[in-house]
Amino acid sequence: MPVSQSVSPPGSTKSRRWSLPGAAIIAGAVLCTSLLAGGVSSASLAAPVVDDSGVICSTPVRSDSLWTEFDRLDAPPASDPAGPADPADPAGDCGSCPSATITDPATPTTPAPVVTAVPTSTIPSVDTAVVAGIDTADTAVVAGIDAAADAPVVHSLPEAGKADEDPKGVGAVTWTVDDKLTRAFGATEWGLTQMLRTTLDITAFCKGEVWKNVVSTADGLVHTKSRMLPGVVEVTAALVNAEKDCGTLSRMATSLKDAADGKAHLGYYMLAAVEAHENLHVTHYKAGVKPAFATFKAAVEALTIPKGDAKDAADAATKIKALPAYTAALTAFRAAETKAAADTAAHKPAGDFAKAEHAVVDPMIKTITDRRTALKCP
Amino acid sequence: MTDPAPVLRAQDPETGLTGVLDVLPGADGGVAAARVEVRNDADHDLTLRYHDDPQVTVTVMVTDRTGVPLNSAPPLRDSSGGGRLLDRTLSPGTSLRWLVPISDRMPVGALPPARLPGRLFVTVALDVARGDAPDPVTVILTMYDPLVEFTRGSAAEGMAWGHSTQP
Repeated sequence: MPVSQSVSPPGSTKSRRWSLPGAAIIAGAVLCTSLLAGGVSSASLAAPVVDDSGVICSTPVRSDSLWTEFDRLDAPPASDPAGPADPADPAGDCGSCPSATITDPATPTTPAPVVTAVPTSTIPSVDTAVVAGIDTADTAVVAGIDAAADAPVVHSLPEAGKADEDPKGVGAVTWTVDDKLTRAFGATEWGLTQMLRTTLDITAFCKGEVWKNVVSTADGLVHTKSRMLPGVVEVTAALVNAEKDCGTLSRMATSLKDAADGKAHLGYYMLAAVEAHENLHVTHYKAGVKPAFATFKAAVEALTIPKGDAKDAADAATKIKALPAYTAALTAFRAAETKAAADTAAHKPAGDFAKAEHAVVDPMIKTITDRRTALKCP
Repeated sequence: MTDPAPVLRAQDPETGLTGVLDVLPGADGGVAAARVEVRNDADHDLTLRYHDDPQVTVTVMVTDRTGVPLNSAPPLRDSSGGGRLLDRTLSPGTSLRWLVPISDRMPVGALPPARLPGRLFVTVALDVARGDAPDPVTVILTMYDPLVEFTRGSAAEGMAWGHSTQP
């Protein structure tokens, strides 16, 4: 069972749907628009839906259970009601937007695609977040975020008569792979790969009546280093072709094969094979983190807070990060990191690692075989 | 703003795997442990593959009410970490449970002496395969209770229950 290959890249036809409370917020956004379109009873509206998706719910459709929340959202900001210069909004767009509805050619305001993305059958009960449509493509639709392209969306603001540009977030984890191991090799370790947790951060920006955000930092770090064990000879074509002893050549070939299969060596190996093994760890880890980051990004970038709840962008980012849905998304991402590192550390499937090393040593074994043939070895 | 509601269940609609979080209180009402159940709500068998180390399978994050973490995610394994994977097949309606004392994921002394209102987040990460599907898929289920309280007394009670257990 190829565990490490089990998560398909986001956007592919095999892309998975992940279950995240962050998605509960997105599902909540869907619920709100469903409410507007189809008149879902207020009894279906769970509290977490209302909490962090107020911008979508803010269209004044009244239901008893949400009325208080709508009042809050519709009310003018507690401070700075006239909307003077805002450090994160020098053009004053936040102050000039009359409502949460922004005319956006790139993001249709009609709820139809949202409703399609998550069927109403997935509406959560009060304590149940049934999460659906949380792969990258679906989420991009739900949240109105072009996560796949990661291109800035230009919002036209008719009342202001100008366009502005959202901050550009990161579309994927930026990886740094170096050889700065934080511990020494063990006596029998050919190579070591240390996977570190990804550094994440968001940048908030004001858009209309709310503070939105983009994931602005996603820095992954892996330390990896390979070596020849002390006393082991590196096998090269030159070494093979200079060797005249049939027994030595036989021992070289056996050592290459056995070491590639994870068995004891006979004093010969190839550094490139060790590197191939360690590189596979790096590849596995990155592959495990990639879809988790897409899910994290989609969930987090769907989070907003009302404009009046923060005094500037830094304050807004802090308050967005204080939302339970943010921590939930972060916890899920950390869990994915933990699993990805543990999966590859378990060397499952073992065949993948042997295959990677054999891809390096097998041609050399062929060279050894040819040399033995030329020497007419028995 | 109204208090955020707990999300004590999460379901993966593709596989039908459901996660359920029970927050187990100690004598003084603080969090002693989290009990996490994953249940097969599909109408067919599901094969779960998970690590034998509960620290890998179940991630716990503890924060105060403003989202400030009180614990940190555990260090990631390096390539020499090894580890064992377990396979369990769940027939419809059956489940697996993990019991995670809160003290297993943070030192009791990291809690303030006074009662601390906080939030508890729990994620289960595993691979799931249907009987008729060739490849497993990774399923991550996150549940949380944003309205818990942490006390040293209850955390110590959980510590008496030992380390995290798993099925």
